[in-house]
This record gives sequence, structure tokens and C-alpha cells, in this order.
Amino acid sequence: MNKYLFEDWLRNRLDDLPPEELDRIVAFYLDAIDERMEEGMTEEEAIHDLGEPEGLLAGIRASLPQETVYTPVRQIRQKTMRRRKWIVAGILMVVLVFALPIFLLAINFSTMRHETVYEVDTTPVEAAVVEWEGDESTHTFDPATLNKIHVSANLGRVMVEPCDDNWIHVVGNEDVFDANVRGATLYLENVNDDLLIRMPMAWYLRLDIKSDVGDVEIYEITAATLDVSADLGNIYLHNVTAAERIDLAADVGNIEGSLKYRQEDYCIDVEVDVGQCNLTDSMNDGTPLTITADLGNVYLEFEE
Amino acid sequence: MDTQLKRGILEVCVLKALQKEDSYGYRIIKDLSPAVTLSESTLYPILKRMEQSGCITEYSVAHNGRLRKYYQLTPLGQKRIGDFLIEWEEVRRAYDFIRGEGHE
Repeated sequence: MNKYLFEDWLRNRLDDLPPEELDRIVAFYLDAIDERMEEGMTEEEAIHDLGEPEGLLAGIRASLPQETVYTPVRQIRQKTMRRRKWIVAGILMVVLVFALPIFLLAINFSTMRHETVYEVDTTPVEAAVVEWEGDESTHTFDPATLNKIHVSANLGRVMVEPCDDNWIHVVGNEDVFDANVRGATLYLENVNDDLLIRMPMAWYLRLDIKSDVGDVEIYEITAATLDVSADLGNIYLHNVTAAERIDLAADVGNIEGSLKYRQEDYCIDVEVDVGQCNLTDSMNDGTPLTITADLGNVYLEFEE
Repeated sequence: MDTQLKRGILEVCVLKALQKEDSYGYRIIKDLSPAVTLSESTLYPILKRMEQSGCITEYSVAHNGRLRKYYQLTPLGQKRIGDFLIEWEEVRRAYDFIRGEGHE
């Protein structure tokens, strides 16, 4: 811990305060650190001597009159967007409830995605968790003992991108997100706010993502299998592929983007109810690519 | 002890620490430490309130390449110390009585 990390943390936790007030508070505490260092403490000792972090924050907030705190425009916009999403969700629920019996009659059951039941070993494996940086909200896992990442997201986006080193990094707001390892699967549960998963390029993992409201965006990765299911959100793929199987399902949103290799490298099975689709079924001897979209459009290109 | 009461007492302690001479955050904490345990998280709101109520003012002095913030007692702050001592004279009498020798 150093002064700059401390300042970042303070500014981050108090980002709802007016800037002048925040600057005053930060200056006060940085001075407090300087004074202690002048007395002979190290930077680390000085910060530690300030006391328990949550107590610090509580003391600061206790001194503020209620009118001082305002919600910046960014937060208001996010709240409005979330409210709008819930209103849309509510209306669509009503529509789906009435349309569902008709859909069930029209849909061929064999094209529906099959839920694979995994044997879940519930003994927690501590060894896979390498680093847990609480305040930075980055959690790092060792892929050596894992063969699957299972993501369950409620409101926020899920983003997946490659990373240079040989670890799996998960970045999120740790107040609303939960990660644990059971058997060889890393389970990630995210309520709201975005979640970013950075996977090593050289590692072959099964990726299973379920998103309720938020979009799913996957960049440049190759997985062993790829299962993405979005209820309200869109699915965006950018130059992505899987060795064994790709399953994409969107209820309301679109499925867009690009896959690696050529269209001929995939055995395509696509089922689109209301929207448009640029792909047709194929009988190629290639990687099975199953796409299901109820209301949205499907537009996928192939990056050779 | 009632939190409001405790906070009030701490505030006057801080004012007292500024009575002899102007002082800065960390030194106030050290000067008060024999009598009262105080940390920055408790001190910050107290200083803020004292400034808002006009009991102290602040100014900055260049020190070792940075600006050190000093706090100064105002006449109103001085009066607050006086009022406290008068009010608590009664409390002290009651304390002596309660503690006093024997029971009837």
C-alpha cells in the first residue's frame, strides 16, 4: 500500500462527493500520512496508523450534511437505464407469457438447447485462488486446475477478452459479485455492474455464460466449448471460436459479430423465430455451431 | 456514554489543544493522547464542525516542501471552552455528591 493507492481508494469510495469537498478530505489524509512519515514511520506504517479503512469512511460521511452529497450524472444515467431495462423487461414478460403457448407449438423441440448436467463437486478448492485484491476488485485464478468457467450474470454486462499471462483475471465490483471454485469449475455470479473476464490465450477452457439483462461481449478468444445464453441482452462476438462446440441463444437480443475461420469450418444449425438471419443450416463436417434467437436478429461473419 | 455528549466533550478538548498556540492535525492528536484517544477519522468531522460554527479558523504554512494546515482558536472558540467549564462545574458537584462518603 502506498500514498497513491490510498488516494485512489479514497477518491473511489467517495466519488459521490462534490469535487472540492473530496479534494479537501484527500488533502487532510495525505497530510496525516506525511506528518507520520516525518516522525519516522514508513509510508506503510503511516497509512496503517490512520486506522481501519471503513472507520475512516464512516467518520468522513458522518461529518457531511446530507445536501452535500450528490449523485453525479453518470450514476443517474445508469439508474435511469436500469429502470428503463426493468420496464422493458416487464412489458416483454407480459408479451412472452401470452405468446409462449404459440411459440411452443411452433418450435421443434429437438432444436432447443439441451441443458447439460455437470457433476458438481462441492468441496471448495482453495489452491486455485491465487490473488484476491479486495479494493481493486480483481481476482486472479490459476487455470491449471480448472477446465470450465461458468458465469451467471443478472443485470450487468459480461465481457471476455484474452490476456497475456497464464492466469484468469476476473474484474468486477466485489460488492455484487461472487466467485468460487468447485471441482474444476470456476463459478462466477454477478448481480449488477459489469464483469470482465480475462482468459489466457493458450488455454483451452469451457466457457458457459448466462446473462439475464446485460449484453455478452466476447473478444478474440478460443475456448474448448462456448455456451452463451442471453435473455434480454445481445451477444457480440469478435473473432471468436471454440474447438468442440459453440451454442448461442438469445431470447430478445441480437447475436452479432464474427467467428474465426471460414463458414465451411462450421456445421451450422440456426433457428430464428421473428428476426432476420444471414446464415443457413449446413451439413459440413465442422465444429457444431448452434444458434437460437427468438425475437432478435442474427448476423455473423467469418474472419478467415 | 451518550455519543452526542462524548462528541461535545471531544470538541472542547480540541479547542483546548489550540488555546496555547495554533496547531495542526497530527499534533492535536498527540497533544490530546494522554487524556483522549483521537484519530483522524474522528478529528476530521470535529474540525469541520468547529470551523463551520466559527470556533476555529485555518491557514496553511509551507513546511518541508508541502503545505501544512494550521488551526487557530477564535474568540468564539475561547468562549466555548469557558462555557463548557461553567456547565461542567455543576456536573462535577453532582459527581462529588454521588461519589461522596457514606449512605444515609
